[in-house]
Amino acid sequence: MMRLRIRRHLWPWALFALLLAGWGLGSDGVVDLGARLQPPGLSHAFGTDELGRDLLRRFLLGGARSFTLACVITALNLTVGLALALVCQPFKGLRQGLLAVADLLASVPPTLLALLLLTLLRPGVGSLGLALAVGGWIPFARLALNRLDALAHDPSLMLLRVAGASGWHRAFRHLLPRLWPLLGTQASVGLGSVVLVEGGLGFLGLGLPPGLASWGGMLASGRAFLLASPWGLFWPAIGLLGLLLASDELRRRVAPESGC
Amino acid sequence: MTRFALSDPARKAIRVTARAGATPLGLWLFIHLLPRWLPEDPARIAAGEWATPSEVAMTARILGLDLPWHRALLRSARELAHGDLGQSLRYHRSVASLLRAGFPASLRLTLLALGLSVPLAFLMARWRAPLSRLLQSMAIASPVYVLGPLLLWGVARHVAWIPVSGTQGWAAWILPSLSLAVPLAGHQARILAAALDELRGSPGLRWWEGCGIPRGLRFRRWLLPGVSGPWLTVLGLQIGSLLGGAVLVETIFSIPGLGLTLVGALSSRDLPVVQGAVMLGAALYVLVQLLVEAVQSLLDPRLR
Repeated sequence: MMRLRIRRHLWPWALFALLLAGWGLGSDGVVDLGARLQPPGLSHAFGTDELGRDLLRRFLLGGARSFTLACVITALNLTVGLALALVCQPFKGLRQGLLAVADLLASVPPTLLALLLLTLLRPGVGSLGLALAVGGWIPFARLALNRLDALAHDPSLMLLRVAGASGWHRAFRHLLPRLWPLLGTQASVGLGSVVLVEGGLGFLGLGLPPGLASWGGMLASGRAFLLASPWGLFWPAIGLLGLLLASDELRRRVAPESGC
Repeated sequence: MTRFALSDPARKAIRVTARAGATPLGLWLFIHLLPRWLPEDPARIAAGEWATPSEVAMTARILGLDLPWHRALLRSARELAHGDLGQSLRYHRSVASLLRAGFPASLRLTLLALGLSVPLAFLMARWRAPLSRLLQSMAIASPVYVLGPLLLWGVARHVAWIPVSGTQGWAAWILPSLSLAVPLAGHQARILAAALDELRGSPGLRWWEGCGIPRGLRFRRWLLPGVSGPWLTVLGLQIGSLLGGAVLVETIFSIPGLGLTLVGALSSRDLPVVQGAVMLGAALYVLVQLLVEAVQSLLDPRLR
């Protein structure tokens, strides 16, 4: 029974591994104007785009980039949120300030916040990362702060302190393991939302630089050539749906008790 | 959202207003100070890649970047008091008039999408089948920029009376609002289904059922107020973030709303317009949160 459940929930990890394997492909494929907008066939398993580039290659590379970017940014958000919560929790003023800033940034939809930053920055991967990460730490900081408040008067942690355990030991061996389930759940939610916003920015032509394939950018060009060949739209659509479903599934797996 | 256990309604009203006003005020400060914190010169970027130094200086003057920060803030505060959000860098119009021009279309789209999402969510939440959960997850995982083009391909291509883009006639609004509504409905349905499950098993409701109270009355009197709390919370958060989705839908279906204005402003680096749109979005968000809290306390006496 146990084994069956693990197997059923293994598919998100399999998808992630597949997406990371996309990095092995190297380049984005060659332009071949003679083979524009072809349907899936023997020479191109997924068909070709409007410049005759192989869609399978672009699909895998775009997925690898979207997923890696989302992972890096989520890890960054988690670290920043956790660090801010750890630093601010013991001091009342800092705590209030952190919550106020979080409320402030949370009142702007993430897409709008990203658009504001992209107006102010030169286009590039760094700007994109900053635009995606600017509000992402908020839920992590809020959750960590709540949990730390609850743990502040925890008898077992107080006992450790009285017993003379060092601050680092308490933090890494006793505090973080208790924070992890909550933050892990939020990480899978955050991963999904970064993928979502990044795809939207790519769709608007504000994502990765034009030479690099991304799912959002593929959707935009697929939409432009929709009548000639829908395949350019289908593959990134399926990929995004799969990745978002996987992050959702992961959230449910990490937090089965939440039910929904 | 925190709630205050104050008995005095006047004091509560003051605190609620203060809290509601603090967010737009703080955001206004943030938006106007952010260009100064970033490593790059915003005037240089706004003026464009091939701008001469004098053009850059002029842009800086329009944006108020040549002034020290407190005087620039004072200037835009004075402008704001007169309902002036500044001048667009690209169009010779005020930001307020640009936003006002885009607002009706976006409002209409938002209301239609919300109106559509509520019955959809109810249907999805009430439908009990092995695949209903998967359907909810699929709805949540379909971004508008995937759903919109797919609907164009699957529906607008085959149905002659549904136009592909624009705002001519009521049929033009079906696909845009539907593509916005489906992910919203998925989120709502998930929350609703959980709340309904919890309520259905509750002894109170089973008691009323045993008493022979008709289904419709039970629904109106107990079930609806019971699920309204979590549901309205989600709905409020969704309305707040609809402007972000509207950017994409309006681009896909060429609807001349706020989102299209924003994308146009962004591609031409029209900073005042982007700032104005973000401010407007945040102000709407706060307004909606207040409304949601008011409606929640009307429906659910426990919150009063």
